[in-house]
Amino acid sequence: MADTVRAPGFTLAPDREEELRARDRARVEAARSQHRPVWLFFLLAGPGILVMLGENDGPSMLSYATTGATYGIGFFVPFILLTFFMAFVVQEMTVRLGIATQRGHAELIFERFGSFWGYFAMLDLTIGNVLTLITEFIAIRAGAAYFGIPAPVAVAGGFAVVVAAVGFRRYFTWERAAMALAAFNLLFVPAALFAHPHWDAVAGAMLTWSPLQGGVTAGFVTLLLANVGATVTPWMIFFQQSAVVDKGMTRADLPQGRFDTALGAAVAAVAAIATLIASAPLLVHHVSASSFSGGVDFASALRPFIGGPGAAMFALGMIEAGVVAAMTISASSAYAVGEVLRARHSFNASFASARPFYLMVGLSVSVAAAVVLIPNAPLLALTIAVNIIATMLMAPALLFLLLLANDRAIMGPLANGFKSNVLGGAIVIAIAIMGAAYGAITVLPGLLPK
Amino acid sequence: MNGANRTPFPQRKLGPGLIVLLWLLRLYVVLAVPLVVYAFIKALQHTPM
Repeated sequence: MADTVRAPGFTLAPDREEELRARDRARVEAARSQHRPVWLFFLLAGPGILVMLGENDGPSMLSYATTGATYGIGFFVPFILLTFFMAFVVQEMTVRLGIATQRGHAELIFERFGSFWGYFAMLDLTIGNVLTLITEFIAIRAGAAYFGIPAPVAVAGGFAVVVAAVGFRRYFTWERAAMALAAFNLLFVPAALFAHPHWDAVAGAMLTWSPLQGGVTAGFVTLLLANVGATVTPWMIFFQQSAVVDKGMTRADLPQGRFDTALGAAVAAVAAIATLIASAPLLVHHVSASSFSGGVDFASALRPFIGGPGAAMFALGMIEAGVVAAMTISASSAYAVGEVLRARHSFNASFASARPFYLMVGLSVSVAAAVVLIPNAPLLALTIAVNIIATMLMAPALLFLLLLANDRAIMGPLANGFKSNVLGGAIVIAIAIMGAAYGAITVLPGLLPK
Repeated sequence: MNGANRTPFPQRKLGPGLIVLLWLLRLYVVLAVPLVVYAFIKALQHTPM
């Protein structure tokens, strides 16, 4: 298929974007009419798996590792499962929103609530994404450092992967490349197995939500928030809704979209809990993680307890976490910018027709990569702070999500039902309370014991 | 997905409850943003360089 038809003096651009999407849709419809459910799911899977594994990013994996090293196998094991259930409830709404409106999240806020909230959502997303992207490149650098790869080489490699995947100008190819890389998130599972965990302790923690070493302290609340921020963040809402639209999903694809999201949440929860378990030996052997500056420190510190191969998998997992998140987070920024500027915003579009979209991808990863190469860039505190900031900025994002999902004028029969509203409302309230708790311990540091 | 060629949805008519909610959200933003900035700067200062 020719992308453009050239004639002397001018270029006529037929709709490459629509044509490629129509081609993908034809394969989906063929799979549906031939009653091939596995193939149909394979074609429709992507946004849900990517958003969940994309959120198992550098700062998130460091938060899970810090949690494991600080609290071991106990309260946080079932808590992580709960946070991924929360993530599923939130992200399922974005699937319905995308399918019902065929619009991205930023676009919908802009159109339905006006420019003030539209720009606010953009600013909220952009600040969070820039900070998070920086930490993704920190993770790539830190993971590569374990193998002795110099920082500029590691950062350039991560940058090259993100740009190369975009270079195909094909949503399906970009998505499959990201999914193939995201599979390596499960490297944390063998790393956990090398820690030889006591499975009865894991099962006991699941059932009893205990033990909780040291009780409720400021450090506990901070890690609690970091774990929520590691699972539910604003970029996820923007990314999945836009990806559902870019993929061309329709009302008939909703069951697969939901299953895609649930599967992604389940796999990501397994990887997150595995990271906690892999790091738990540090608590048992009284190794403090408070001075660790990144994934390389965790991998090195874990080496005596989980062995060379386990530590190598941990470090490789950190690289994967950073690269996949850099792809998805830069995509969420690019989608949002394209939506608010009312410019083309699709991985199927040509470079010429979607300049702001592709520029945003390139610009955001370039800035993040450049910042990481600045000597003495702040590391672990920054990565944990990113998750906390995401938690505080999450309440407004969730509120708009709930308002839009209840907007029957645009959602029609896909609007939120009673159960979705109860669960969604509970999540908004819980996250707002956690944000307030964080505010309280920040302003009044003596409120809780250290 | 070609946003430039699509008719936008009309702006939503806001009821009194929603207007109050959005003002509360503005208040949250006014309170949360300085706190986020303060927390971020504090985290940077306390990070070993």
